[in-house]
Amino acid sequence: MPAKTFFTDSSDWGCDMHGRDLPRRNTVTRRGFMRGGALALVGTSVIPSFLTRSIYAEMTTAAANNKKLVVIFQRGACDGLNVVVPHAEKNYYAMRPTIAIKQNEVIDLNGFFGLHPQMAAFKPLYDQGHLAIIHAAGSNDPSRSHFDAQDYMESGTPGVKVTQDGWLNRALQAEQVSGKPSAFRAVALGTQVPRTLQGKIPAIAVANLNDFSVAGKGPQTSPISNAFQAMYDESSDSVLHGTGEETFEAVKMLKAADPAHYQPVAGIVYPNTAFGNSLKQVAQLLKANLGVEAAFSDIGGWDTHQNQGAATGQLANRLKEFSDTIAAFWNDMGADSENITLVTMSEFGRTARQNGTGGTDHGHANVMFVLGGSVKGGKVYGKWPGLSNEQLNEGRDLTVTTDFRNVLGEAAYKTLGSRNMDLVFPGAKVDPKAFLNFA
Amino acid sequence: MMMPRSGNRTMREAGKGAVVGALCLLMAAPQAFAAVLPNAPAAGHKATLTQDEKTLHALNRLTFGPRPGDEQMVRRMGLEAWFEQQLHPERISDAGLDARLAEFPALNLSVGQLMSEYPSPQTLKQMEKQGTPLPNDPVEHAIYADSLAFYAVQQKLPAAGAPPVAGDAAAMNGADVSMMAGVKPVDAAMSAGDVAAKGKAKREARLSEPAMSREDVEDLIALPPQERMARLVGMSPEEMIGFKRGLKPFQVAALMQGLTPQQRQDAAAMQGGVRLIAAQALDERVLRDVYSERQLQAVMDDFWLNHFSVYVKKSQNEPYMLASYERDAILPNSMGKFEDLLVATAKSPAMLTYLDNWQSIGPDSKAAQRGKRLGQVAPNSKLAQAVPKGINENYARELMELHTLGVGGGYTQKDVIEVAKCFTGWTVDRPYGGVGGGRFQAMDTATPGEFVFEENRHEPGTKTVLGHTIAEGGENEGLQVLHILATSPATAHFVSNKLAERFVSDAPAPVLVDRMAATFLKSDGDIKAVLTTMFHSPEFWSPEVYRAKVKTPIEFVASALRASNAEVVNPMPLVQAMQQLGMPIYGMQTTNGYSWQADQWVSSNALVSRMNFALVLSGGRLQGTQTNWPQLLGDGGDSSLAAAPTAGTELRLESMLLGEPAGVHTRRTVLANYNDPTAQKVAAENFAKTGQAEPMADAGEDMAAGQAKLMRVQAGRRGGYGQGFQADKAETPLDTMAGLLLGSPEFQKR
Repeated sequence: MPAKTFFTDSSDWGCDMHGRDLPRRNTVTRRGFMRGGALALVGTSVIPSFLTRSIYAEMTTAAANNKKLVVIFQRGACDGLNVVVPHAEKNYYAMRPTIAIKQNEVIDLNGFFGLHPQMAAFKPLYDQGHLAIIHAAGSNDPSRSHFDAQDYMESGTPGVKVTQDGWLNRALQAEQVSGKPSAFRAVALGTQVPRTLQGKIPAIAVANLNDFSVAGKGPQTSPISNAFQAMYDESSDSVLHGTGEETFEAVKMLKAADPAHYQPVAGIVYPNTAFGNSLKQVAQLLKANLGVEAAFSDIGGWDTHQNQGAATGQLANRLKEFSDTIAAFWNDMGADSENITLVTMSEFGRTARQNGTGGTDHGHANVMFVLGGSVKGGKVYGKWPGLSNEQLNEGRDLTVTTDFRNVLGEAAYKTLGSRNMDLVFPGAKVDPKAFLNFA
Repeated sequence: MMMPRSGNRTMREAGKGAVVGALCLLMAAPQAFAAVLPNAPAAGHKATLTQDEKTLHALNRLTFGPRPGDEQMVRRMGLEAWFEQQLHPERISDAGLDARLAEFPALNLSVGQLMSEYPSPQTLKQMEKQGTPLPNDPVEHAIYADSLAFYAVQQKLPAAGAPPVAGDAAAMNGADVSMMAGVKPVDAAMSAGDVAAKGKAKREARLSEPAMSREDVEDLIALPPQERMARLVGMSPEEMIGFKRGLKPFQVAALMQGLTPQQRQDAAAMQGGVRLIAAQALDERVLRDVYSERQLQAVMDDFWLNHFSVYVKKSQNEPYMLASYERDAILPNSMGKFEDLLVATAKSPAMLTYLDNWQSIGPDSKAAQRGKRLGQVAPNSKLAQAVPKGINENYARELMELHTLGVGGGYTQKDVIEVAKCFTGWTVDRPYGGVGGGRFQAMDTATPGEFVFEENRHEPGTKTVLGHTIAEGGENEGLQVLHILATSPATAHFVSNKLAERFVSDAPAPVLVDRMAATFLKSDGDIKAVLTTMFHSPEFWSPEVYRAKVKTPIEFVASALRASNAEVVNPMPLVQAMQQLGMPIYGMQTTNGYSWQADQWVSSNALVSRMNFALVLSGGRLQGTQTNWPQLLGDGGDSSLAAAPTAGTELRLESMLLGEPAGVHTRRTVLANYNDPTAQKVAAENFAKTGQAEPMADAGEDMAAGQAKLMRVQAGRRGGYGQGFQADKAETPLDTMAGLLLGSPEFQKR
């Protein structure tokens, strides 16, 4: 019966129920049978890890379809107007006398918008139709505080501070699940589970894949790790017992899968930065087939109040790292990239006018990228609000025309199969009919 | 205004020396530990706790965990008498903690003093802009000049492709220890002359200051303490940069040896005040939890700091306000009347800043009118844009939702706005300190960085809050609101429930909460009375709640340090560990504080970190913290115990660390595995270090613990290498045994 609820889905996001994945469907019964058997075995804790992996990895809609959502947060409020440049807007150049990207410098996309020259790595992805751009996206909350706005964007509830969990965790909650999903279903690169991923669904924060281990890094779990496992297995405390089980399972899975040996495809070089290393590790986790459905990483350094530069300079350096990393990740994933959706966001944009110190201050709308196998890219989505003075938000910033939750909602809906948008974004009234249909 | 420096500095110096000596007494004498044979494991569902279980329960719930000997002490005193004593912290000497905190002189300064003596980047920026002269006092001059150079270098880093830091708030905040620790030795610096603005002109001509030669560094270190300090103070910023580059981490201890705490603090501040200030405020929390004899007060301090949560990364100013927040608002009221506590937090610069009330301004106030005129005259001027434009509802909302009534406590959005109006004008005087803030200097007050009520910003007119009419009355309006909230039954219930969650159960019995709330109302919110009601309730002593709470990370860390009688020389690695364990101190980003529920703390990452922490701590591999298991077991001189502990040793460790026998399975597992020689070493590698602190920054930390310890540290290492005793200490089977017990499921509960 779990198989039934699983596969009655008739969405348009890749799990084609009308033939294309017939072979896969034919294995459903067998998997269902094996799942029951394996779960029965859990108590005796002697399932071979390959079996555990293959079974646990297919307990949710996303996993069953091998879909993965990668979420990137640009912390510090990226200057979207210099990322995807509206180079046909006259007022853009009037408002940014020294920091504007000149028309002959932008990487033109459609005669109106162009990429920052340091983002050449994105151009082929755009041309191949994998990269979609949503401009003038953002939050309906007017906050210009990094702290509040990041919080709101991560919780997915602008204006509501007490929300305990993050939108991505709720997106996973909104999936149909039967049985026990992979311990690596939700993973964040970093020491802490970010707000975006906090919530009921267990999420794992891994700063470094090699360090996620108890008392021993070798290919086998150490005797001490096994000792701890034995203690927690027998713990009468249900929470400790349960999480202990997940923990040691994750540790063992990681050792068995040894993601570190999945080195980048020849010729692909990730920038040697924290962000570059993060996405490299995300790729390793995905290649190791650990059942990752949602992965999170972030990159800081966007708060360019001073001296942000134009075609070169501070922001340019950051954009190069950003786009080179994401392009490396995409190419590194090879054929598997077909199953991936990657989405980027930043808490708000920056002022349309440059300030007195060669930078920009806190603004409002921003640009989001969506990269994916089933993404209808090569297009800039969203309604462009214009940059003339009366079109600006509060007379100073790009106006929001697309709620960021609409974008994230579509990504979750079509990638993870999260159907209940009221659960993912309570109160936002995200309506699938109003999706931009970039995917 | 510059605070007069040399005067108060000298004053503060007086009497400091005396306490340093007291530190050596803190290494507790070997416990004469009777080989307590464990009782039979508690039966599953019995009606009452035994007397021993009650003792352990009380210690587990009302303190940060028993130290060796605590149970015997409580048994001797009697539970009631002990509780009564803990309710009155003023009756308990806390000389031990005081001596440790004396190593952080800046903790005693006011917000304004801190800002003036250890300037923030913002203050420096402003000085630079305005060409404000640097202070004349030589020490202060050095701190300012070096900080200017340091921040200039720091600002360069992102452009130079330094690793990005998580979050913009973090990027601009010295309190992010991991980030600060990642700051590389400088390769460029501005030259700070006598006028801050000069530096700006010189920015382009940055120096690539070579590292000071090894010989020169060694010569400097060899100077007598006073001359050494004078030499540091006399260095130009360029020379200081060269010196820092030449100084090796292992030389820091020697560099700081013989200096007073004040001098060490000043030396550490020479590369940026905000970092030092934040580090001290965070360190203090760890030391209090672990070492205060006033344990119930420490627990309540932690509880209220979480209830009235503030966030160190809110802004660059927030770190300056933390010491005062705890010292002036929370601690004195932690066991007093709730309303006093509420008023103290409402007026605290930390809360005013954190929840933005300091910027809230009545739309019809005089200040708003002035702003409007300014906006008409010069709409694009910096000043016009900087002037706050209206009400900020942040504090008003959280005040009702999180501090008093609770969600669904019967207030409306209209109430939020009305409350916010009542609090307009509650602000911080010269929030960027008294230094260099030209536009603030006009104000004729003498309390920079403190609460001030500004009539000009206050919204005129009558307000209606929760059905009460509040007549126009300036500052008094806010006080009336706080009184209404503090005496509301919803507040009594909300606060009582949270206390019961902390002390009794994740799901406290409603009858218990009702009883506590009734006491709350009857006693005008007397926190002592509420705690007493709880302590005397059968629900508190129910076998069902016995050992049923999962420790939060701070409870885990503090109880492990207490149970093992660990000696903390440098709390900073523990502060960093708290980050890794998922509960950074003053680090809750959201306004609601950390949860008291188990499920928030039991994640895979957390468990891996806890187990590794247990092994790292027990193996003496956590920098700045030392355990001595043979000594704890009363076996100081017997090294054979460390190498070859027995089953009997294990039983005694169980009793000391867990307070009662471990589960059969845990014991069997410990006995089967304690002989794994590589356990701690690998755990230390896994317990990912957040990076080596820059030598000088560590100075204030590392050496904060005083000479007695320094000498012991030096005696403990043969070649004089490393940051202390950890580097060459081999782990022993006894270490592993203790580590397994600290990482066991039993130890995660209280």
